[in-house]
Amino acid sequence: MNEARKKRVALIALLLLGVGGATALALVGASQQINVFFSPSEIAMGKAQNVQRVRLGGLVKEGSLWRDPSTVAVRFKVTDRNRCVTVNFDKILPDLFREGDSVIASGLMQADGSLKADEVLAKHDENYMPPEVAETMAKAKALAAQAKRDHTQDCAP
Amino acid sequence: MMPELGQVCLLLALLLAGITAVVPMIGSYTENRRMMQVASFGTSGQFVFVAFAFVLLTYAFLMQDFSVLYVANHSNSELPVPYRFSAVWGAHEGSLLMWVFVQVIWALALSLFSASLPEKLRARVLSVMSIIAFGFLSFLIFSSNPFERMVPPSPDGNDLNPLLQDPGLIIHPPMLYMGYVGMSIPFAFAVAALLENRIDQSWVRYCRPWTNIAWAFLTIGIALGSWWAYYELGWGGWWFWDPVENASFMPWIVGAALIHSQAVTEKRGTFRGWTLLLSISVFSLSLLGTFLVRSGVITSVHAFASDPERGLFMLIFSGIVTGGALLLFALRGARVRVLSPAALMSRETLLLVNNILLISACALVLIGTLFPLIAEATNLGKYSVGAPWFGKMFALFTIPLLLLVPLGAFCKWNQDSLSRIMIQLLPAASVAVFAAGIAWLMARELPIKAVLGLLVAFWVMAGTFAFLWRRWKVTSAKRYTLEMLGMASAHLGLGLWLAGVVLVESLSVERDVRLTPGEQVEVGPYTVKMLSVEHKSGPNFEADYGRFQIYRGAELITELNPEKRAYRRGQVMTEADLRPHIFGDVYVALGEPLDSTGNAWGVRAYHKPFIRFIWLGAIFMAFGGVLAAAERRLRAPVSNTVKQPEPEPKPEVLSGKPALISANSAGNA
Amino acid sequence: MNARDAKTIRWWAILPFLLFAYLCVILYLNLKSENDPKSVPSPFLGKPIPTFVTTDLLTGSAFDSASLKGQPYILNVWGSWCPECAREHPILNQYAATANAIAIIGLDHKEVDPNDGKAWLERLGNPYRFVPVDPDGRIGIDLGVYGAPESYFVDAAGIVRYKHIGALSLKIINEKVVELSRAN
Repeated sequence: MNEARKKRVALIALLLLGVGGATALALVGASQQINVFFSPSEIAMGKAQNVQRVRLGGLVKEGSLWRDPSTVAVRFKVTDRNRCVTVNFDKILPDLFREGDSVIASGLMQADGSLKADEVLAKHDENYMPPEVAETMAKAKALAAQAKRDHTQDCAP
Repeated sequence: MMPELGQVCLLLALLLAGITAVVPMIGSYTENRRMMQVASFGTSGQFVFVAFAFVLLTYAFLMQDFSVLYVANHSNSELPVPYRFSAVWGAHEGSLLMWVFVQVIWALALSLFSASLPEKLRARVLSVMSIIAFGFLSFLIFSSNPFERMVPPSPDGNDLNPLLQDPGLIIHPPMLYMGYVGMSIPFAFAVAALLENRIDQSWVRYCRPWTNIAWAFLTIGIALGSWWAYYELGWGGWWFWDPVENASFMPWIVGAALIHSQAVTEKRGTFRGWTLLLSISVFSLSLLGTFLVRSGVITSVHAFASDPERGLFMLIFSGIVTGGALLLFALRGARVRVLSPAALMSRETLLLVNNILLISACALVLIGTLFPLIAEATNLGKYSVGAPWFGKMFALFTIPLLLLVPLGAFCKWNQDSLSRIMIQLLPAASVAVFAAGIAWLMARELPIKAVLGLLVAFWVMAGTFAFLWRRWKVTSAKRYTLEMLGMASAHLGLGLWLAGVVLVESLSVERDVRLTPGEQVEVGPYTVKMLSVEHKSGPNFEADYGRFQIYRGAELITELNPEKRAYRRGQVMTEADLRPHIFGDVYVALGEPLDSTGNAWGVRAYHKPFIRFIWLGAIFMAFGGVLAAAERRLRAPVSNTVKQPEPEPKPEVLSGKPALISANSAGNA
Repeated sequence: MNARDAKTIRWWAILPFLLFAYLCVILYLNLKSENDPKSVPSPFLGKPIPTFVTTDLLTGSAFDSASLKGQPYILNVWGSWCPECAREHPILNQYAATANAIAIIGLDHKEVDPNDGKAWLERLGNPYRFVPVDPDGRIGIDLGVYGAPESYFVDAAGIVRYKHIGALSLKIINEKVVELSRAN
């Protein structure tokens, strides 16, 4: 095999190896770091059964914010006015976090159905709601209407 | 009256851009000198009008002319004077005007410094620059007019987003734009070369300084953004793999590949097609980035107010410019060889591997950034790609790349042996292992991954010093050319950057705690003690500010005053305070009051060891780019006759007879 | 360079262009889905608009949205804090001044201080038949509002026929109003 041919083969082999290896690693890494968005209703319906890392969006249920008296840890509920999910978070909440306002929490689902969040995002601007949350709210209203439930019956604070 | 004057200036600039795009191009085909000379006049004219328009918009902000809709939306009477300047480019319309302004500045510089270029090439290059300016000016005038009036005029304006009221943000966008837009120069050259069917390397030499300087600006712009995010956002992070950050990073990565590819093409005449393709790609990525940030397809705290109509315009424009160039490449650029005649172990091969790794890293960032869009469009679901994925994938490609960096300078062109190189680098390797060992002894808590990362960083730095040391023994005037020094500085910067990243990611300490006055928290070697939280008023905000004492052992180092500001227009901002130090920052941010008395507060305290190395590394890299650009050798005139592409050597010749290649292999600069 | 090599190189050369074309298609699809109102997940399209009771910004009297039934109307969501609404407003004024214009109801969304809303309307003009207030944003949440400006085109039976996100243009208003009257 002459030099040029050898080089061509080596290059193609390197490329294939590189692409194959990278793809494999990307896919493995992906399952751990790519987050899927769910609403509280979807989680209640069991759609997040096989997913560990979850992004949860909705509103912070009024009156549900509980603060640990000795640390900065908090617990609150995220609702779409149809269902709620409890969220635990042990860091400082973002600036625009308010009860009754939209929030996106991401983290790991626990066995008891609550979310242990490692990141909580409130909106970055006073007046805009993330599209995913707005969509969630609108869909959930339809679901609640179907179940003939009033929006105050989503969960106790 | 002034705003209308501004609009007129923009229209005149548009007219000139149109003329300069068409006339010199036609002149270059019909060999009409006078038509070609229109390029200089047209380019200067565009600069004058756009500059004047920019000055007028700035004036409107300074004079607080709230009859202009853009001024009313992004400024108000309480806005401090320095931020009235940065408000000019703080939102979509104004930043687009800045983009155009930077475009005509680069075009003017090119026009003034291109006397040594053959006339036809020069005419076509300036023509392409004007095509780009024409596109952006149309976009500006017809869909994003910064001079639009508000009737009746507002008595006072909305405020500038408080996040933007910061010195770092005054300079970050201009630096970025100088980089993004500067890459239109190699793009214009590539297109002009393809049009002329001039696929040789003479114009590449001319292009190198421009590309290096644009890349240096981009490096500084990105580093400023990272530094700003660190001290302003209050979360201690310096890079979030946010789609907008990725949009600025991709041109940088491919720009780095381009710089190396240009070096090969200029010195050896090979990689010509590859250099052409990269030249087209870098600017295309700049355009793509602009599209992503302004069209609303991605949601991000960084993104400008979204407008799908504007997005469509940008997409069409990018499609025409990039698509046109790539089509031209497919038709004309294919005439070059794919593989160079050099041996498997040679500097050419190393640089090819460098390019492949860099492009792959960029492709990964692109895929990760676009995946949520694709998933949404194809109804796969609402995905988002987390930062750790990007970090891991990026490391996957950069670690092999960094391992090879020291070899490049030691490897001969055309043919060399790996064993010979490794023997020369053995001292450097030993130093690196030794240094990594010392680091591990000094910080036993470092995980193995971090120690290995440090080893790579030290290897890069030691290898660079080994090169400088070897050149010391050369006694000619070419001992240390600016090009070599530029390379050394940039590679050194790379090592510093990696060391900073590894150390801060593995050693940083974050504590989120509840504190009352008198209480304290340990963070790394420092103790943060809260004294009190008091109230103060600013020009357009009310704030709570904390008084925190920082101790190292028993010694009082400083007092930090982080703030929580409530702006009159409703936004709440965290202003962290930090004590910078090359070996590690102490950083304190106020969370929120945890009880009704306002006595107990949530406080975030960080220790960020060696984080400054990250930006120091970037400064070295940018400085390297500037040094290399100043290399006098590169300013030799570009030949007027079109060199025919070298005929493909017959296979027998390739079995390594260095004497047949005329380049000087001993100096190997 | 033999014939086979020449062909191989040609093929590689067209690849970047093809990849780029593919990318443009994806981005275009994404843009369109943003722009396309049908893909906006308003679950009320074709369904009755949720009713609400609040007060009117300018008169102070009670306002019950159920009273709007019987006539088609446009429900425009705005706020004095919203710059894009200021851009849209002259268009609403223009439309309201035309003959046979249907009523526009202006929901003052997330207005912290009602005086700001009043001043804004005084300054920019008032095309609205009624101006219900929504200070804490609850009504907006019930309607599925993302932000402002947004507009709902509701027919005489109270069914939402179209939701528009972003500033309206005269062309869109005229088009959709014609559809509204045809719906009954």
